[in-house]
Amino acid sequence: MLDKIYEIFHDRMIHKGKGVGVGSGFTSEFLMISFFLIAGILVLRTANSILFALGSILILAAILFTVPSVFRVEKENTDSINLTSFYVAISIVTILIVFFAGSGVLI
Amino acid sequence: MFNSTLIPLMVVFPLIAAILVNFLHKKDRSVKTIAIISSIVAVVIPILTLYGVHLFSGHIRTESFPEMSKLLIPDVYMGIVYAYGPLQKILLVLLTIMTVFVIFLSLNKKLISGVYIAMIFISLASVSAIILADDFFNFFVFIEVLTVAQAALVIAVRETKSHKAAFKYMIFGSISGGSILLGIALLLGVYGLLNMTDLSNAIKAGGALQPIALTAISLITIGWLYESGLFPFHVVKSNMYENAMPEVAALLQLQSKVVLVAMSIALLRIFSGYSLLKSVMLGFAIFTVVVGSVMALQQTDLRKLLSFVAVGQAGLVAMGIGLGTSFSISAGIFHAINDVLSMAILFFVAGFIFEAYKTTKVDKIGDALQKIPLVGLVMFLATLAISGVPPFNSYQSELRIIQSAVQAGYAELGVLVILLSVATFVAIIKAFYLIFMRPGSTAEIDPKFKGTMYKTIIVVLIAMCLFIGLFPHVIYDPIYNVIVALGV
Repeated sequence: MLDKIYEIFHDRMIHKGKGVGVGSGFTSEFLMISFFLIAGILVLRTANSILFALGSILILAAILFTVPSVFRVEKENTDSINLTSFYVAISIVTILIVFFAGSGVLI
Repeated sequence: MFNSTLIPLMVVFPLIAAILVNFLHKKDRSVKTIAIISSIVAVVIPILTLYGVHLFSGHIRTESFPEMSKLLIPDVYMGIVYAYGPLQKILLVLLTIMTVFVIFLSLNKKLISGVYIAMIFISLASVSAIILADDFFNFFVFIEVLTVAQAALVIAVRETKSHKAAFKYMIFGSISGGSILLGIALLLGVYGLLNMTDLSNAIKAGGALQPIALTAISLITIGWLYESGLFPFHVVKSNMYENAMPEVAALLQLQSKVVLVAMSIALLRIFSGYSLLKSVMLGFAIFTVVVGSVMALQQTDLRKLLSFVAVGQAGLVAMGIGLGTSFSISAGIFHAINDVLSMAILFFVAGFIFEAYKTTKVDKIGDALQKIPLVGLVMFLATLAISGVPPFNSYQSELRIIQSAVQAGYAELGVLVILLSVATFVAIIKAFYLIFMRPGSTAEIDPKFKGTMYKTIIVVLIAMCLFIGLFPHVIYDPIYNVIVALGV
């Protein structure tokens, strides 16, 4: 499996500085997986809810299934107005839900 | 009396300088002379000014007649108030010194004109007002002025991609500006106040927040994300840094981080009892840290790479602030100061490389260590500094952020900070290796370009990084004392 992942990184990153490019690709993938694991642990530890725990494990499993994830992150972080607007809309909704639900106004 | 006259000068003086150089547009010698003198005077003013409060038009604190006005506090400020303390002094001295450096570097460029230098002075005046203002509407006005000035500085590069970057920045700026203004209007409607100190007292006295006040916080938080360059606006901000001249990018990232600090403190002061705000700040900060670092690792252009590193580091500053303890907020602000110094060195190095090779593509330049050894050495030291390697400054602040994360009960975030440092080091050292050590270069160095000013400035800045790393308490202690006194 590792060989297959290496080949994917080699093909995608070879134009970004030969071995150095592949290395930085691996580092960013390592960072992404670590972030998901850390976020998962944080939620599991602090949420104190079985529903939340099951949900976070399912999301974590789904994300790990999509390795390598860095190329998807790169695709989603282009400077296109459409994509940024989409994420701005998602963020506004998330903030509103968190503030209203967290203050007991919605629930 | 002395301080009450000098505090507003920190805003008024750069504005006067901007009008003067704008008026003398195309008269390059006069513009240069005024720019140099004004920028040096701008550094001296915050150093000479005594701590205190300036009440515009002399309006003193007045009774609010709560039984008639339904205001929840007995007395209020009737005019605009500027407050100047140790934290403001540190931020303003740093801001003005960096502006001097940027003006000195910009004066020898072909795009130099009265309007260009005027925009730098207007941005300086705006950030100074944002740091000083205790009035929410005044704060908003200067945030808007800053956005326009920053966009103008990027447009001045006169390339299609710079125009596109500035256009996108303005589009999302209008969304953010509208959100902040609507948020302020809602707060004004509910509490009848614009002064931040009064608003904070009124909100505390009013008990649980009403839905309309919750909407206001949500809207202002959106504005905070944009002004700080955090997710989902990180791409817009990094695009601006990438497409500005590198020395101006150094100034832009400094201004963004200062605004991040000022706006975070304002929000935490006003809504001090509302813990969900800190959680939201922390969530967006973590996301920005990860996305910024991952994107930096993918880049092959030094300017773009540094832009994403700057965005990731802004996330780290916000993470410290979002943890919400006095220790973590102080550590976050301390990291903002350390980070702008290290990032400025790296952007100035990018500026030097751009001037010398006419490109910043890392795969086109090679073997540069033999041609520009001093710049290579300083870039290597700055890479160590920004990655949190002792004895440099960021080590002190990152260590404090990790300690505060553990103390706040989020040890996992400490691990994330370490991972970010490793990723930052890998991203920049990759560029360092390709530019300075890899044999073979397709780009030729301009033999006429000496870059003495660049070299002097980056050596001064790396010395500052080392000084703060060795004597962190000179900067950290006043910040901590201010944060404890504010009680945020």
